[in-house]
Amino acid sequence: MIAFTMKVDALLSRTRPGWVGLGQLAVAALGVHLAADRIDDHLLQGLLWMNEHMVSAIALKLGLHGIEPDAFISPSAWLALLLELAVDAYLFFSLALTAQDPELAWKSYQRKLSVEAVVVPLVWIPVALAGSWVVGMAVEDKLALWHPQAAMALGWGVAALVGWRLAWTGWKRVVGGLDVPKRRTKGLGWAFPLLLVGALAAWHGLPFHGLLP
Amino acid sequence: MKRPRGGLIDALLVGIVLVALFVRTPLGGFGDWAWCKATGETWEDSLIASFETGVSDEFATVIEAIVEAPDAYAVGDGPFPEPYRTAAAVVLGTEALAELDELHFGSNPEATLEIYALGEDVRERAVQRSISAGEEDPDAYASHRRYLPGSAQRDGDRIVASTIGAARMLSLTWPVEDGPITSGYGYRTHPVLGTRKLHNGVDIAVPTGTPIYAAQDATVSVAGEDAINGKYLVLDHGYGVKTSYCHLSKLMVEADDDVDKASQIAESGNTGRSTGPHLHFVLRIGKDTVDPERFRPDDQGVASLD
Repeated sequence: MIAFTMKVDALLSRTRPGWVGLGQLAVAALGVHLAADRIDDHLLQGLLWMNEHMVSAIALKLGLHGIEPDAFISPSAWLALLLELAVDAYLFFSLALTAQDPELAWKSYQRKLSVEAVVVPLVWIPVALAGSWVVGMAVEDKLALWHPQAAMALGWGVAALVGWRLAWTGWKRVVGGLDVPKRRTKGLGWAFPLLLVGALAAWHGLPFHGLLP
Repeated sequence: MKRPRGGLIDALLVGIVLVALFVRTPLGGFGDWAWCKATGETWEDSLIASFETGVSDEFATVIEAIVEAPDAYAVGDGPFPEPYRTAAAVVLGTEALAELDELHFGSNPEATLEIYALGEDVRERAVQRSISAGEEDPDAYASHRRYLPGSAQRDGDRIVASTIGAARMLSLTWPVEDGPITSGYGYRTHPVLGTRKLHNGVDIAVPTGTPIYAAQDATVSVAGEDAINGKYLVLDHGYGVKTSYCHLSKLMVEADDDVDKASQIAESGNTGRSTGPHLHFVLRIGKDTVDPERFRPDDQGVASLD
């Protein structure tokens, strides 16, 4: 049995570069969703501002029916979904275009310094950690019927493992795989949505509030 | 050369993460949609379901049943209070009342329903996670729902959200003390544009400056002004129940304020595209608007259980 397990482990270890990116991306996507889940209210305010300052005035001038005041609530949720998928896609390409285990070196990073080189690693940390917590919660929920205390410990254990084996390796891959930019402003267009998602994941996706005074 | 290790544990972790991704995010929703398309099944979920706080599909039907035949749903007294009692009898059946009475210790009915639906341990875990994540009102189902397992979210939505939503609909108050309805709910020819369109609320003729009251406990979703609706408010009463108040002259609350049922939130007016002073009052359950007159309280026409 042990020999068989070792063989499977060896086989999976050799093929790891082929599939581990899927897990690294999935863990980040879980964190991105936890952040996007909070974003629709902010987007609603933006849509209402547009209606107040532009859309309703045009409708009035053209003699068209206006938009109902609560009609923006559902579009704001769809926009949040689009933002979530866009950030997922950005992180997918950040990972997919990167070598499996790139070398991390400060000097090499300095040469690659750009907006993207600052923002992406910064955002990856909270979203991937939030994703690790989500996985830990899911494991705890599954095992809670069997033994609540053990389930909690195992949930945190799995969260820590995911953090180490997928979130951390994903971060190294994203940082190590950065290109030398043609311009330092590379990634400026994505900076705001990425930082917004990162900030919301850090604030709402990490379970530190109960520890605060 | 060092042999690589840890492939098995990583594969297990990737498997767990992918399952969590499928169950908990819209990416999983896409997978579900693709699966249904491939197998020819009907896809009934929504990709934005995870952004919504528990509106059940059967919600509108349930409310209609109560309003159409209130006597048929008359239930006896018990510790589990009205209007939640009648709502629970309709949503869950009268046999559930005995268990709800037993579980209810005078705390809030929402918690009793959730314990009935999910059990105390599941609820407590979600509340604790909600506290850890810094939620403002961790005890509220809508706040800690996202920390429940997927199956518990579905049960919670079906039982807690539907029952509390039904109870809120059953105990609405009318937004003005008095005033005739000059244009009812339904298809009509627009008084300004002359086109035929669904009038999605009721117009109540009231002089400018008339106090406007919140139809139910709520959070102010939107306090705004535009060229068509004039000054307006949208109140979120939770679980898919929303009311809107348009053409106001003065707003007395701001977005994100919590307001009590029957507290003054505005003064009526004639702002926006309006042919005279009136209140345009809209009631929405989930995605659909309904005729607010059918939920008008007892002293003004229809039963209120509050």
